[in-house]
Amino acid sequence: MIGLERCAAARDSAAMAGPSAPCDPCAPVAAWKRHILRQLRHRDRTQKALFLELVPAYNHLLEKAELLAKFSEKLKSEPKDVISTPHQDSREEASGTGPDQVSSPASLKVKWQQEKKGLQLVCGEMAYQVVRKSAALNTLQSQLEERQGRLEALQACVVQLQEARAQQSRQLEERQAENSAQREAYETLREQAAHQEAALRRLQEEARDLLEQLVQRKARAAAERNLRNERRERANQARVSQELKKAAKRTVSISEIPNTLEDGTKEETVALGPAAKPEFLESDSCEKWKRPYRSASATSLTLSRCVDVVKGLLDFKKRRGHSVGGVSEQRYQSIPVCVSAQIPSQAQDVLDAHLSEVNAVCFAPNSSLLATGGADRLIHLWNVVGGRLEANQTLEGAGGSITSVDFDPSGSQVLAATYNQAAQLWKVGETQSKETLSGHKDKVTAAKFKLTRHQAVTGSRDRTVKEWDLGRAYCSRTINVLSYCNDVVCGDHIIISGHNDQKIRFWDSRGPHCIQVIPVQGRVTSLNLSHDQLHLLSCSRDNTLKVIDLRISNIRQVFRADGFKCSSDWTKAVFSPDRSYALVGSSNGTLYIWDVNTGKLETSLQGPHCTAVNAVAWCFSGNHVVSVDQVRKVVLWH
Amino acid sequence: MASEMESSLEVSFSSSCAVSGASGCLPPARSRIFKIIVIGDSNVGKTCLTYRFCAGRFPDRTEATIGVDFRERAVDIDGERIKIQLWDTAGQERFRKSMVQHYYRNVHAVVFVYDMTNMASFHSLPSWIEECKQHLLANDIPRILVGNKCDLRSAIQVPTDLAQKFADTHSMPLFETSAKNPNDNDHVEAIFMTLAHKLKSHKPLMLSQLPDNRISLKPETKPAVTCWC
Repeated sequence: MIGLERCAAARDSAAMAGPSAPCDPCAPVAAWKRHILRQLRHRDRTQKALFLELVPAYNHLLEKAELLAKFSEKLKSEPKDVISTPHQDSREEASGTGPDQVSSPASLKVKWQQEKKGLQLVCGEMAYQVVRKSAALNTLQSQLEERQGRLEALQACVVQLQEARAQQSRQLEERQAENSAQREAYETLREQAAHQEAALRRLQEEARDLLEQLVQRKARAAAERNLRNERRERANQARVSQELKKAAKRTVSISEIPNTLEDGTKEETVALGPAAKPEFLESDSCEKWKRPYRSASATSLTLSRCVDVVKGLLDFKKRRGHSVGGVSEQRYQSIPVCVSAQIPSQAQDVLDAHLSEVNAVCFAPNSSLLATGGADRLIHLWNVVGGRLEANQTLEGAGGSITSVDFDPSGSQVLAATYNQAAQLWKVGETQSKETLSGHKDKVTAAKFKLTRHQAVTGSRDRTVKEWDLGRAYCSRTINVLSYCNDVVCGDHIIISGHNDQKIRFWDSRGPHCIQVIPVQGRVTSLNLSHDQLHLLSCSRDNTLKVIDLRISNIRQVFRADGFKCSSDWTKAVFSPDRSYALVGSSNGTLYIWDVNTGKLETSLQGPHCTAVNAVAWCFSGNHVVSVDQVRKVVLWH
Repeated sequence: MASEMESSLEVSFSSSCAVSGASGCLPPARSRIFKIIVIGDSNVGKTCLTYRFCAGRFPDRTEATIGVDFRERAVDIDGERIKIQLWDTAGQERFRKSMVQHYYRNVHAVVFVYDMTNMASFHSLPSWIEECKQHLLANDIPRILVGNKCDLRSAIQVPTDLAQKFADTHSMPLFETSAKNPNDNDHVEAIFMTLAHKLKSHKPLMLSQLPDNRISLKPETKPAVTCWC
């Protein structure tokens, strides 16, 4: 109400101010605006207090009116059931009072009808409300039912859960019981474990003590055994020395036996053969003492000397590279060693040794015996005496042209390869062949003794290399190669073969496969192994000699010379025994010697050979060289 | 285990007793004994090797050797009866520490064994060789190097050329063998026989006990040795 009035006031003032506004547009406008505003505020302040009481009072009235309205509504709804009685009453009243209120019946009737209408309206409204309420009731009832249903379900659930809970609590109890039982069991077990651990500790201590005792006893046993060994050794030594003394005494009376050993000879070599060896050892106490001597000290001199000789011979460590063998082996116990070789300078002796071509030549380890093999199927043995060759013996029985001869390291046997598809073995001193190693299917080109006893290796043009057990004349192994084999050599446990396909192949006696292949340019005609087995000399048809270092398995040097021509597939080249020189014969009969250390051609020797030199040999003492050629000649060089 | 140990002990003792009995009644003429010790890491097969040589077969099962086991075998070499006394030593340090000096006393040859399938056993060879050097008075005792278990071809870790190089630098011959594989049976035998041969020819007479003779004569013996080339 205040707002309205204010509004009106504002409108009035605005209407009043309206016309004056255009006449004073600028500052005066602001001034009167402010003025009006001030006035208005002032009026607001002064009149607001008057209305402040009025507002709550009015609000109160409004509330009351509302209350009354509600009340009256209630009253309107009540008359429905009493509608008839008041109706009659009112009719009676109307009839009764008719006379009293004559003027009013019509108005009463109107009033009554109005009332009736109002009541009917109210009644309809009520009926509608009843319908609505009943509908609401229905929904509520259905909700209630639903709730009850849910409640029942929930109760059932509760029952179930309670049951489950009971069950679980039972289980829990059981478990607890179980647990406690197990706990008890565990406790007992733990106790037992503690006991047993203690027992174990005790036992371990005991074991340690026992072990210590055992070790002590073993130590004592070892000491005892050592002592016994020593005693035994001493006894043996005492006996030996007694025997020696006895022997010495005995020999005093025998002084006429001729000298059996030539001590002073320069040519004495180390080549004590395996056959000679045991006799030598066995006889040291007997025969040795038979030689004349001057005094007792002389005797012991020879004794110790012979001992030293044997020791020197058999020095275990002298030779290196004894790698292994799969076969039981006996090595030759003496290998000649050359300190320095002399380069030959002149031909000392020239012989027509064979009826035709001479293919092979070889010195015995003692350097005084020479073997030559020729196409006439004969092997001649020669003594090298005083710069001359003296015929010693002829070995017969070869089935074909001889291609290679070899002495065994003891010098007592000769092995030759022949065109007759076999290798044959002779004993020095017997003219007839002792064994024939047959099995190859083509010409045998090389046959060499191994350094272990009773073993040999042959190479053949049937593309195989065979190992032989000479004790049983039996081929112990056959190696198949792809190419003709022209030469083989053997190290301690290595077999090296030279082939027509320009390759040198290495075979280990332990393994089945080729362990290495070294290609050279040209067909390999010969191989020669140095005495320390560290270097290999090969000769090939490209007119070169090659030195292969076996430690690094590589070609170390290549020797060539103007005029040197490799004449055939079986031209043989050799190292000097001290490995300082390499020697080979050329197709024009000249010998070429290279210095291995410098790699230079040392010398070339022209001499009695008119045709190609097939093979050369350098004796182990280093001072003789022999060459053989294609027309029967054997030449000894010094 | 305990029984095994006992039995092995018993064997070694009984055999030693037998030997002592024999030696008590004067040893047979010319029967020499060569004491050969077999050393190397534990579990490389020392026991098996020696067992193979002396009993001719591969042992069914073996325990770690404690201290030392003695095995003997008499062999005939060039008509001479020779007893090879193998000392199968313990590889484990704790079983051998107090015994080392006994091992090396008056030994005639030393066999170093490594396991070809175990690089570590090969790498510890220098320490064995060092121990050997420390305990040996003489330098010229034959020594050989044996690679065992060569039958396990697929598991081999130590290549032959490496072993050969090593053997060369220590100037020992190298043998690769297997105590187990029957095909290599005579191989084991061959190794020891080779060694026996070497030993037999190495010191034909024991003159170490007659030093006076030897020393007085030495200067005169020299020329004889030098002219043998």
